Amino acid sequence: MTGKDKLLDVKDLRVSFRTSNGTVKAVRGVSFALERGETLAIVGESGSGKSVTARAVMGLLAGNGVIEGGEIIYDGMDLAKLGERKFNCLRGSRLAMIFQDPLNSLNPIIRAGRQITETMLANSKAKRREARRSFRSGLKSVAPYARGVPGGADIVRSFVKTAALSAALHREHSMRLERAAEAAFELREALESVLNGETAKALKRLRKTLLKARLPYLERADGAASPLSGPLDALESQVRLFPENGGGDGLLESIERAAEALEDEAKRHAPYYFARAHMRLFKGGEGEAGALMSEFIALADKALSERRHVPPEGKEAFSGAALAELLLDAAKCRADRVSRRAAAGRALRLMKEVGIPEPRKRFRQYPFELSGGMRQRIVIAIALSSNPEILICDEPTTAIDVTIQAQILELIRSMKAKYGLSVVFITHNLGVVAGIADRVAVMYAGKIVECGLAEEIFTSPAHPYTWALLASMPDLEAADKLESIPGAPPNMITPPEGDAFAERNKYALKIDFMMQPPEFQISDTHWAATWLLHPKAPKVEPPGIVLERIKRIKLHGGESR
Amino acid sequence: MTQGPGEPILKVEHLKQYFKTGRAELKAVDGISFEVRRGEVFGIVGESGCGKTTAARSIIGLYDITGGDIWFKGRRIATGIPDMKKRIKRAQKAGSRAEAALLSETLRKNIEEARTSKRSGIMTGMQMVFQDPVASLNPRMTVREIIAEGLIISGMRGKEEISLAVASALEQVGLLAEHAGRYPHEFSGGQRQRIGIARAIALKPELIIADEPISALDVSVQAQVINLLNELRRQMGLTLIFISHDLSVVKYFSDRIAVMYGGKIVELAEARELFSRPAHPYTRALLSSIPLPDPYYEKRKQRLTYNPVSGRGCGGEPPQLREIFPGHYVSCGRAEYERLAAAGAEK
Repeated sequence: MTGKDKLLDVKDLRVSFRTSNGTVKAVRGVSFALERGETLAIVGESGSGKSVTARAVMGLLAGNGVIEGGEIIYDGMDLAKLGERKFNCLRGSRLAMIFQDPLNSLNPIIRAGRQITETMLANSKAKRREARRSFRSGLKSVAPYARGVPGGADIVRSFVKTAALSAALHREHSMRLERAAEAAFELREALESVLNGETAKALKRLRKTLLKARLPYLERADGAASPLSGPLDALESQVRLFPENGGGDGLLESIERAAEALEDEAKRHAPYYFARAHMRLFKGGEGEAGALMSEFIALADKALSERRHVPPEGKEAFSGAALAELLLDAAKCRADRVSRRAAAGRALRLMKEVGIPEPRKRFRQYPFELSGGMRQRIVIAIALSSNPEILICDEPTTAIDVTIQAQILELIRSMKAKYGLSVVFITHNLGVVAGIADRVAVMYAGKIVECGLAEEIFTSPAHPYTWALLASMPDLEAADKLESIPGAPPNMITPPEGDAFAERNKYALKIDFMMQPPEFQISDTHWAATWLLHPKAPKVEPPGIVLERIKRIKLHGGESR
Repeated sequence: MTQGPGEPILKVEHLKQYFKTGRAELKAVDGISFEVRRGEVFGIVGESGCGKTTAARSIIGLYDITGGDIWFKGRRIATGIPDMKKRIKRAQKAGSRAEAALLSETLRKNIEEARTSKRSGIMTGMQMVFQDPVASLNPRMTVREIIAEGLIISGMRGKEEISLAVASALEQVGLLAEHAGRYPHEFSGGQRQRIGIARAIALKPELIIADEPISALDVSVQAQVINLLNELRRQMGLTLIFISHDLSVVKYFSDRIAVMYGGKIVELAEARELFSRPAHPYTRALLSSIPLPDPYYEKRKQRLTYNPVSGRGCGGEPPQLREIFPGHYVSCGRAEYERLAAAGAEK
């Protein structure tokens, strides 16, 4: 496979379920890699193991499910062996999932808004708990140095002091971020209501917002003029003038300016930018924080050198720089407390972003009051609420009709671009796959039978199962009888010996019933596990309906229909 | 009463179905009219909440309709009582006694007519297949009981006769007669939908209303059920009303298609015609949102969106269903009608 950045690497994953009838081998050796920024679609009938694979990655297997073997490598960790506590810090924050039926994945008796904030609050709680733990263990590993080392007590003292400073700094930044983002959101809302002709009502709220927004920004520690003061002052004077100036373009423009300025301000405090500033402050060695930090690193290094029994791998783990890193991280998480109010503000902004009109009203509504599309948007907002890196969508549009499906797919696509998500998309609708996937993996009976770029799967499918899937789906030009796949997927308690699809495959060879086919590479990015690709196999053509469609795709490819 | 092919088997006129919700009336179906011809597959498409399922349930008599009339095989089977009563009241208020009397006389006649035709057992000629094969089969009844229920209600008494009818219905849908003793939960989704279809065809209907029969099924099974319906239609000379939101399936399966939006039919035409020359902006938006198994097309396509308020040159008058070319009806205002008809004539 290409040597790009592998974000998630699943190797030979095997999942079984223990039932009273025997062990159901639901996933039997699945390997795939998810590259950063790509969308991988997993396609197959129900019962092919695609959802089980996704759930194994999320650590959400049912109680009787066991990961029998294989690895799920993410960020250097093997998720297959990760404990529940560690998983809680990943799930929902770095891995997020969207389920098939939004009515079932939302709690019917909790208002939509609270279900979004719930994830944020729970996540911040789990992260903080984890951070507290690592902070304590950091403190513990520092403590031995303090004993019997000249100036040892200073190390501990400076450790604690640095942590406190770092936490305070972090807290202030996140507060500023929240305030700015919230004010910007309110201004945008006001803008909307002015455009709708409710100027007086909007201005009443605007005054309140301004009061809130001004307080934390206008005075800066270094006395320099904040970039916000200009636009905010302009807006304020406009608001004060109100009935006389008639709330015309001048007002609209000043609101727009102020909102933009506030959004910039929010961006400046965004975690990524902040983390850089934070590092600069502590590592650059300027000011009180820098001095404390360098003092701490020096003390810790000195203590390490004076200690007699240090295991070789401990040298690096206990060096001053490593400890400092750990410490700052822990402090940051510890300070990263999401208050209820901040979470609500963030939820409102997210709802707006995923295309929910009147977020304030929807925030207070119950799932049953929302339409299918709105519910799925809420689920997407929940998934996005803590900035995940990987989004797993398990048939997110199957329960929704076409127009809304198209909207939801567009939303997922745009959110993917905006947040730089990598997506695993599970579906049985090949039309949806064609629209969203970069790469496609076709699954059958717990194995991936064919994998390739979307274009390759649709224009040169190689596995008879892929053919069968393509042939069973009508498109707008299909006129022949549809070819349904005869029979049902095999019983996974006793999976067949050879190719699992052989039973239902009219192209099956004798060897298909005896031996599992290996993966035959067709191109660098495309492989299929079928004996038909063996050089000695008879030449077989895909069914007519598939050939015709391929011809049509090639004919129309690149031009509009 | 015998009818040749191509003649209307079902006629719906100004069908209205309103529901009372707390504050206001919900106009689920708001005055739709169409004919279904004998032997054809009539498709109804639209997004969820557009009233297509309600229309089906009103036609088969699961709701008492609010307004309009329904004829089946040339006989009136339902009439909208509340709407008529409202009209009578309005006439009385306006002071025109004669009109009120006339209206109430018509109403009485219509009700009587619908009652007699219902008593004659005409309704067994119309059956329904429901969307969710899990929810529509009683889990506590065996397949035999499920299929026989309708037969017994329609007056069949002999045990032998009933089991023969059940067995033949099961065979027709590709299940075995032995399956009759089992319970629904012992079957897969596709098989359950077959049971639902067997229940519908056991009474030898002439018209089957299939309400999203495949949207709860898996891909490969969907094709099986469509092929089965096609087969049955040929064998039994069935007429079908096929309701779905999956346009590619409707296109594949139907002869004529009605597109519904907001309780109204916005476009009605032959399948091929509708897909090659969609005239209503909503139909176009709907067509552009179908996902097609073609990655090149999908990655380039621009989805159209439909905004019911703007972009309609109705000039204030309520749009009507007008025939822009033979057999192709579009809901539009007069000005737009002229434009569309002219465009159609050019082609």
